[in-house]
Amino acid sequence: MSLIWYIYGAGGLGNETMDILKTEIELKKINNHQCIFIDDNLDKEEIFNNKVISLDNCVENSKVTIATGEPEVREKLATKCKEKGLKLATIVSSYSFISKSVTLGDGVIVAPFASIQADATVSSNVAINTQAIIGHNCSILDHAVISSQVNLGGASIVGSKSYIGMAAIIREKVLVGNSSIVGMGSVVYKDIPDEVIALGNPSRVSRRNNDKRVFK
Amino acid sequence: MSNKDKYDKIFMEVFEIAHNQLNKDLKYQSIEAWDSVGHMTLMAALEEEFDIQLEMDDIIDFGTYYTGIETLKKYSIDI
Repeated sequence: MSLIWYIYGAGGLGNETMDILKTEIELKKINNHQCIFIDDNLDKEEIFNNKVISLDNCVENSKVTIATGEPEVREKLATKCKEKGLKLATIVSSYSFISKSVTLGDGVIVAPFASIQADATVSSNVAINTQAIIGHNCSILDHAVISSQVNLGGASIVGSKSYIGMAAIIREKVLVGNSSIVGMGSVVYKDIPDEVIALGNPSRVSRRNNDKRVFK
Repeated sequence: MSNKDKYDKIFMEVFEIAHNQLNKDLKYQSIEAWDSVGHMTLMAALEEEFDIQLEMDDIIDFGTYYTGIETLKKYSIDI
């Protein structure tokens, strides 16, 4: 019986992540797996030319990578997967650069042309999108999402379940708290507290992140 | 132009709404335009018009058309 690798989430990020996974299998960087989407809200058997099933029908002890861009949902799905006996698995594009001194957790996605520099730490279930730059000694905590072309200065910290929007720039040594959202193109010079939405250049706190939803 | 006229004009221009929509029902996320991005546009417009620098907590708590009037009193702006 062939090994199975599930991608949880059959939206845009799911499509991208499946593409990275299949490319890595083609490049023989990852052993051959049957690649299947999990999506609990779809009424079809196939999407993006891939089989799609619900979590209930998954085979225990298989690998899973969570591919939704909502940090809160990432956490919930990770819990459900663990309860179901699935193992969070990391997918790293061969077209990314990752320093040998980087620590990567389980269930991480590293998209093409992302770079993660010396001594950075990427915790479990983090998504790092295309062309994101993660500076030296950065820490990205569980379930956070780093969008495409984000630039994290050296030794900056992104808290658990936070979302950094496309092309945002975070100054070195700056802390973005837990469950916060940094808007697209923001330039962050100062620390951002927990559970807020920050926008603009220079970035300012706009609202409390009560909804805990990035995409509405 | 009175401070009230300036205040109203900012809301109408930022959110592209009519004068009769400036009422107790006008609050954050009550209309599509008053989302987190619209909120910062509103804050920037108020700061420029009244030559003030709003504190983070005041920006966060600026929740409705009417409570905003109270917030600006802290900056010696009487609407």
